[in-house]
Amino acid sequence: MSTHLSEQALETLLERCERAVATKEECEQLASLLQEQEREEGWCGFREELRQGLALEVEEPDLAPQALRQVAPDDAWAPLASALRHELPRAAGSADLAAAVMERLDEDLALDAALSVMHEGLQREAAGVELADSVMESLELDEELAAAPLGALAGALRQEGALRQERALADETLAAAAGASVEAERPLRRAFEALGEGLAREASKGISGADLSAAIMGALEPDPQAVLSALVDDELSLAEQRATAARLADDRLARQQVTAFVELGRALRQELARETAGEDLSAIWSGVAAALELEAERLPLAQALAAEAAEVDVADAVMAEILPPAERAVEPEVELIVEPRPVRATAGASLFRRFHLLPLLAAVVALVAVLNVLGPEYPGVEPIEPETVALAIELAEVNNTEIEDLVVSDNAMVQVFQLDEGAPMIILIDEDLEATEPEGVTL
Amino acid sequence: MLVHRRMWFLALLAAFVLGFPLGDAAAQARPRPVPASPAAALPDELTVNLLVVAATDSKEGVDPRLRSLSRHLNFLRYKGYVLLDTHVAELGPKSDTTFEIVGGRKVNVALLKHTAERAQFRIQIYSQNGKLLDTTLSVNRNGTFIVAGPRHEDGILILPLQARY
Repeated sequence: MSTHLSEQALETLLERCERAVATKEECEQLASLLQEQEREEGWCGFREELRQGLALEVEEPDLAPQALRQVAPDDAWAPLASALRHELPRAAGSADLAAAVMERLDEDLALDAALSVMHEGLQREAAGVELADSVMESLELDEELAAAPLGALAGALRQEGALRQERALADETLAAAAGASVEAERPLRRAFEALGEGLAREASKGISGADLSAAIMGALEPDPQAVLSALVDDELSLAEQRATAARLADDRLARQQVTAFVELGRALRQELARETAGEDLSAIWSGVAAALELEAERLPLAQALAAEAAEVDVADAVMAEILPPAERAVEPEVELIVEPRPVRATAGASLFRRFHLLPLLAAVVALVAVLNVLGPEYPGVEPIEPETVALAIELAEVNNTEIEDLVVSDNAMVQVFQLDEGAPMIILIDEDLEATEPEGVTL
Repeated sequence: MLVHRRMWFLALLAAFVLGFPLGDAAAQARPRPVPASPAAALPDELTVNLLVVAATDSKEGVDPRLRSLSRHLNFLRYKGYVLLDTHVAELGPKSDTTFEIVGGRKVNVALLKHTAERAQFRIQIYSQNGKLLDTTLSVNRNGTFIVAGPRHEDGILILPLQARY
């Protein structure tokens, strides 16, 4: 059988194969031609469409059977398969894929069986290629397309191309969306910056603009002198102390400023001590407590007395007379501001203490008298006049409440506290909230 | 040293004797903790005691009648706590009562059941805008719980409720 065909004869033969009307002899001739062309010029003489189809099929393996069906009538499968056995590896560009397909091919198999085997092999190789199933489904269900496999292949390829385009488009869209989100943040960031600038500008031109601006800027950046003052007054956190110490290490002016603060404080204390020598200041505490938002009634008088009286351990006895039994067991919640100062034990100390503490005794007597007259209240504070001193409620030692159901209105929020074990449970309602829960809050 | 201590103690004692009129008022002001007595006989009725307390910043200090409660109120961070009203009612099983309190509010207390150890209540608080709170809870015998938070003037209302039997 001659393997030399004119280009026109080859074109005719390929067309007959495409239309599935080629005879067995023509298929054998084509197979021989393929083998010869393989030796001489590879795939160059093969029909471009088929070559492209097969090349694409290797990328999308499930399409290969349809392409093969086009060029291989049932009775011509064996020689064509033989030819493809040689050609497919090179066309595939993937020895593994081609081997997997061709190893399953048997020249004695009928075309359908061969295609089935080939399909399985291709599917195995193409595991994970989701497109294959959809393409195959469309090819097998559409009789018209099945009758014209190349058209189906082209359609499938177009579909694939469209899908890929869609995927690419989707990727582009996602990328664009990601970019858009970044872009969207920019104006937001610019808006914040503009808002900040606007606030600063407005703050600086208000009626009390200077103060407001200074207050804002002060909050943003502490006054260096204020930081040094706070350092002297031991008002800085540990981290702030470290930062300030680092600053002091290489800032001579700051060190001088700190020294000035310390000297000023010392001078003030000396002057204050001189001015108040012999004065009774014990009654001042109530005002100080009020200014500090401490509860005067909870004044840790026992500790204060202990601090002032030092070794004179009568504080507990005094407090036992002042406070009712239930209050005696309560630990003071207000920390003592001034640390207790031990009395120096020196020669003649008792004599010194006698005269030094006499004013204190007088002060305590006066303080107690004042407390008794004014009750727990202090000058400058509107006293609460009790109608009767009988207790309105007497708490049990243990108060145990278990909430089984709790609903508050839409515009309220509720929190439940129990400060100590045995303490009364507190159901705290916060009214006038924006309605956020349509059915209220159920605990 | 002992002589001096004794002198100081006597001096201070004298000061308190002079300063304090040791009368019944001071004695009455001392809270007497209610002993828990779960094994006591179960009465048919129990006494509900509802206090209406105003937490405010316009006054300072704790009403002496609330002294037993004061340390449980401190966390609310108000300067003053004033007892506005006291309501008492006797409740039997499955009965209820409504207390009218300041601001047009109403507190409905229903006793659902009670045993020797605990009492179960349903508490409903109504404001002029409708029901503010509806809760079912149980409290131990002679126990107290507190509902707080309804707005009142510059502060809030605190409603301690005790079931005594």
